[in-house]
Amino acid sequence: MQSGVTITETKEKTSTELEGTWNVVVFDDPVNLMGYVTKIFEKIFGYPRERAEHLMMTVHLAGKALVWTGTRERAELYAQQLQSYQLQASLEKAG
Amino acid sequence: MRIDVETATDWLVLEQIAPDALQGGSEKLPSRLSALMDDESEWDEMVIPELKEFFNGQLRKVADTVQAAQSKGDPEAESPEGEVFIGREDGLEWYGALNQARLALESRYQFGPAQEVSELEAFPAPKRSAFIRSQFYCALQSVLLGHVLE
Repeated sequence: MQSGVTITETKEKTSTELEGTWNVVVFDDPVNLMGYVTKIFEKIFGYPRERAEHLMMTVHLAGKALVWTGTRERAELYAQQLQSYQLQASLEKAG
Repeated sequence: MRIDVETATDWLVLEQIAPDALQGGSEKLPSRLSALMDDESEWDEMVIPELKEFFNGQLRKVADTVQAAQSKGDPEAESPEGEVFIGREDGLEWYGALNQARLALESRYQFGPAQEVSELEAFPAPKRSAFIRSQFYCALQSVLLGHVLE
């Protein structure tokens, strides 16, 4: 009985932690070509060329860039897509 | 896109794409790409196996294409000339395989920023040849990016 109560509390806490707004962050690496990274941002997020290039340059110069903000579920989908194109990506809780 | 192969060395370099990626630990690439994901995402169970299979598929595609192109040549001919075709539909797989090879070579040899010729000459032979292959792979990626990838 004690065990069941503990599990329920843990699940509620985890669920709450995953709610809210999440950032997708892309990190720089020594190999990916600038034009390729721009193209991938256009392809995945549907960003216009200018915005995609700006984000690519931010990754290149600052080492990382916040490329999208929204729900956890959608952020995970984008992170998976970015990684499938061999870009290092992670999620951060916004705010 | 067509690669005109003129020498035996050309074939060797093309054959080396998949081994370069594999010898550099390409099976670890999905974990490296997702190293900063949090524990809540269950990435290890849900995503990394898919990425591994996806990346392995890119290497298989390139290896198979090169092997098929080689087998079309005349085995009796003195010249090893041949042609490797990369269709638009295969562009991303080629680009991905080349990227895996470059990531693996960079991880293994730590080339760093563009090298001066004098630095290159000071490299041990394996590192020097790896650097030259990496530069060739990069050039091929640039052509794919400019002419094949949509």
